[in-house]
Amino acid sequence: MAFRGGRGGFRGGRGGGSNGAPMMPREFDVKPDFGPTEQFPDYAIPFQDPLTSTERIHVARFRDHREKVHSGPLYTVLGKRKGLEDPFEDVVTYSAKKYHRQKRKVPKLDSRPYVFEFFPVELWETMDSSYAATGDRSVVISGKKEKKRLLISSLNTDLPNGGHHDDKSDGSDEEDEEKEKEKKSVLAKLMSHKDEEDDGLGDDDEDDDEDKEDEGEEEDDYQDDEDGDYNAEQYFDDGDGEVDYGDDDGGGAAWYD
Amino acid sequence: MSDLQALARTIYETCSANHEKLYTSNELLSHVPKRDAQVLLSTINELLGRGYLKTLKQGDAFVYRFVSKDSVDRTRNLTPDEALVYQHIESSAREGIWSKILKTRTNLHPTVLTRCLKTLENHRYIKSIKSVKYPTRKIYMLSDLTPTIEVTGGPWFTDSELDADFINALLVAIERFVTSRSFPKQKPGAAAVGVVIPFEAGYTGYPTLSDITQWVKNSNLTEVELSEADIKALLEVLIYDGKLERVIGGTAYKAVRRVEGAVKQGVTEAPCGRCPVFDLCHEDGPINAANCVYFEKWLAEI
Amino acid sequence: MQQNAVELCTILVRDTYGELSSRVVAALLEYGRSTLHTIVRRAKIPEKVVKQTLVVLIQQHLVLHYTHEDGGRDATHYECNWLQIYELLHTGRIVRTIEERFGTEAASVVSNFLLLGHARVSDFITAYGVSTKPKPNAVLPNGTTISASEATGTAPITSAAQISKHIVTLMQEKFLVPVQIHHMHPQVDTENAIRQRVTAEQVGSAAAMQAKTKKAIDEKVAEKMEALSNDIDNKNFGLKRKSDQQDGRARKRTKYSAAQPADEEEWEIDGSIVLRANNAKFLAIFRNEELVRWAESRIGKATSQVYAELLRHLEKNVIGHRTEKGLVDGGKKTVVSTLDIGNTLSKDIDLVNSIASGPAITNGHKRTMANGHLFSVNDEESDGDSDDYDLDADVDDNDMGINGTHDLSSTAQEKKEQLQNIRKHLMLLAEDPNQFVTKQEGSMQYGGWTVDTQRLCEALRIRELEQIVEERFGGIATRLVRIIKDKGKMDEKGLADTALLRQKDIRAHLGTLHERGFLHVQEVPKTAERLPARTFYFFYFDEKMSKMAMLNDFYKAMSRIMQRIDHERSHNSMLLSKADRTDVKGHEEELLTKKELTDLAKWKRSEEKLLGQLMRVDRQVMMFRDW
Repeated sequence: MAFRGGRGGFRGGRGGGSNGAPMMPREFDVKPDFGPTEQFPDYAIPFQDPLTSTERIHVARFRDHREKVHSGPLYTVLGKRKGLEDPFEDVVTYSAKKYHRQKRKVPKLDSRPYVFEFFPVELWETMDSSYAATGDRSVVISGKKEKKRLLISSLNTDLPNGGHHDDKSDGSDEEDEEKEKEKKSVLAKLMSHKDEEDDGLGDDDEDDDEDKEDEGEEEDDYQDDEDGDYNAEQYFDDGDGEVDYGDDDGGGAAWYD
Repeated sequence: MSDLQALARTIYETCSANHEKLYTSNELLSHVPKRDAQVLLSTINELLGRGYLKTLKQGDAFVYRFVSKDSVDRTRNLTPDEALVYQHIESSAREGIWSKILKTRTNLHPTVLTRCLKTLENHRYIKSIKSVKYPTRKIYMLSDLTPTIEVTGGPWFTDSELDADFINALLVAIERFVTSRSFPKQKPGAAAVGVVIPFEAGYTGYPTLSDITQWVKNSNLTEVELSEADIKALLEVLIYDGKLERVIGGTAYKAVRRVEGAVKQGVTEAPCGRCPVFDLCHEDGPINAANCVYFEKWLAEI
Repeated sequence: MQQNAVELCTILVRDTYGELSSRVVAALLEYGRSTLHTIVRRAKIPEKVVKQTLVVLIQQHLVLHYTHEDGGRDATHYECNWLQIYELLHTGRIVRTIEERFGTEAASVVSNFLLLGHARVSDFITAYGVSTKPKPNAVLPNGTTISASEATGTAPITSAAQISKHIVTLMQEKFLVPVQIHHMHPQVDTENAIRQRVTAEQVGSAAAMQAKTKKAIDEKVAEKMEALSNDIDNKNFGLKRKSDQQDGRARKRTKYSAAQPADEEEWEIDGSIVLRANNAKFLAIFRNEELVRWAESRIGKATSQVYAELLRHLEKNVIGHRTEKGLVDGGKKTVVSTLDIGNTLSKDIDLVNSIASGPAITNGHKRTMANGHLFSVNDEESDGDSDDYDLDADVDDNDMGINGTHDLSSTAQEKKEQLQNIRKHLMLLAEDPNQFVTKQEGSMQYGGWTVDTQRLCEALRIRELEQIVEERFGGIATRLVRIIKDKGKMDEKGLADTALLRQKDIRAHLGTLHERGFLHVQEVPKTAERLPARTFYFFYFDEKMSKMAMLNDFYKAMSRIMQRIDHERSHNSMLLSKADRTDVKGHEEELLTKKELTDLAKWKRSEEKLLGQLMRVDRQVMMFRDW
């Protein structure tokens, strides 16, 4: 035992085991660096290969889709907690109230028809307030649901590079912006709930009925909290009982802490 | 040589010109007047005793080899221990002998052995060499010998160190050669300049191993003799480098088509891909996406 | 589920559906399957709001649910469908794919299904019919020009009939698929329910043989699970033949040949079915696009175009099923014939000048090289030649049938040449070491081709992995990884020998690769003491582990990109909220200052750059996880 140990020591002292077996663990050990380290040490930051026209279109469509969801009834914004608002940026001015896109704190659900059997029973009431868990579904379907309609939106088919500025990312920027703007303007008209004037967007499938329906929705939105959208703090006035979540209780106290 | 009898001297002078040659006793007998076996025996004994001759065994018969005068002079001045060590080293010829084996064979005390080796090395009688196979062993051989390929590691080694520059130069040259044979020459006035088009399926003009070996031989790239096996090792490396691939059932080689910008990058082209502090990056930590200076710089490159 | 994936999914949901949704999702992802009350507790959101949010998430298929009927006290569990959350990243590409293949109208249909999650066809058509009445005036009020695609593009969807037509097409090609109740449940629950039912049936009859029963039950469960997906595999599921059409005709025309127009007009949708976009099918499309790119880089543009055409024929039957081993196309496995490709391939593709024919083939089966070197054609080659002769004969026969003469008309001659040329490209694809296509001997009159996507994706992953190693750690590291992958376990010495590199030069590379999870080490002690110096270290490559390590890095990098977008957005929040105002939109030039306009443009470029990068990483994620 002692003999073998000694031999091992001897060989180790000669620097490296026999037969080329290196002392791997030493190599893997991260060298301890006791000096002060940079938080972001310098390194050669990679370049992005310029996006191809195809990629830019994908990005544009992605943004467009997201934008539609944001304008739709399902997107929610909780707003800032009391005390965290920026006193300059978050000032609620008249124009802000009037022109800003409304922000929902809870999704708006009662405007569209549902396939009830796809949902657990415990949510049916949430989906349709007239729905009693024990009620007859057919009544709901034939009765109230008839009036509800899916919200359909048109597709924005702008090409971010106009389709022919493939690799001149610099030169086409301005045009891109223009297109972008155009897209936005089309979208804005389409999706805007406040845009009462139907100025005929040509190919874009906007419609009076939809507008009217939207207005209707808007009223719906306000019925939950009359104070409008920007009173976000109210939502978080924990436990004061000012916020009415309907027949619900609990939870609210702990929300957002 | 004054120490030798006239006959012994004559025989030595006639035969020692080639000290690689092995002599049987019959051959030596021809040099002895009247072919007197008795005289030969005493002469051989004389030569052996003074170190001018060595006995070797070939099959069942003894053969003799003459030792160069230098060698004789060398051994002459050696102590018995040194001579013993010298003999063992000498017998290892171009393979060399490991110090540890020397120790067990000579049965000398380590310090004595070390001293002997030092003396011999100082006299430049022996040299210590590095074996590619056992880079940590101390191996000795006579100083005027060249080590065998097993010891040197073959064409890739210079002084038992892998010659990276030599290898790389060969790799580049071979890759270039194979590439030149992998794609058709661009016709002048071809539709698109710079577009590399492929040979049709079933094309058999791709270079084989022997084509490539032949080309290297004729190319004056190197003086070193390279066998097909050596070239094959280089080709393997080029395949592992993703530069070449085997075609036609593995019998020939073809360059992998390289197209500028064809390689789609993903994560490695984002700041995170090679970020040195990636592991430390956390949303709520001191290093995060919002305060990241790499993103800052990356985004500035628009 | 990996922590980095949880983070990414939470961010993705927040980005698209907002904070409430993301908090519920975060609670579900972090703690797994939960009941309503558990979610309320963990997400710290009032029950009513949780319920509302769950409706949103279920509607979007981001959350699955299952109710156990537990003796009157039903318990509903919710579970996050994180792969579907990840699919949020693909919305743009999905819409664009349909846009390219079927035009804007169809794309808008798919886009709306994406927005709606799922919808009953009748509801969908009604909504469309009402909200898309044609406008008398097709001019933009502010005089801006209508973008190119819109100006030349298709007319707006006006009638229910038109939408139905699009829906039928999209259904037949499985871009839209019917949603059934079991799609709303976690698969394991569906399976358990079936197992329970099957077991109940078996009990009593053959209770004696336990082992046998178990096997029988397993088989039956598997069978029933398969039956569930088979419904959707059926090409015309959810469609019914129009009553005024004669039976049988449509069926007969359902052949491979894509040259014939689809028999869409003869089908109508069952209005009561519920549809959604089929994400798995799109994954298959994206995969094929990647394969085409790969073929292009390896062989050439024209060949890749032929390949794309071939894949498009295959795609028609693809449904897409995610499996452990990758994406299974499902549907009928088809062979595409050279003729099929010839019928649909664009005539603009230069098939001739994109391949260099070797030295002229002489009848003596000898070829001359440019340098005068003679060699005989190998066996493989003569096979190809004989095929060519077959092809000629076929075309001739065909031609005779039409013209009654051996003289080829110029169109027939053209056709024949085209087919031969296409075949040359297909042979290149087949001969490539990656075997982009496989030739089906004798299965089809003009030669048929199949594609083994799973094997190809395996090779694609390996290539990608090597490329990542190359970009991150350099050429030597790549060489080492390839050697280890090729030879199995190796020690440093063996590696250095094969790589023709010095041991000391590869040691650091091996260390880094090991540290980053690309290589693994096995220690084999030479002695019982396990001394480091007396131990062999064998390096090996474990694809599964490397894949996991890489995916983990990908998810993290993607999260960082999203977070950076958030940061950039909040950095510009005041400007963005101003630009978002309804009175400002469309009038930015007038209402924003010059600086604001510059900043806005800069923000948009930044976001585009970041999103573009996100999608590039997404491509790698799909490669390693989905395909």
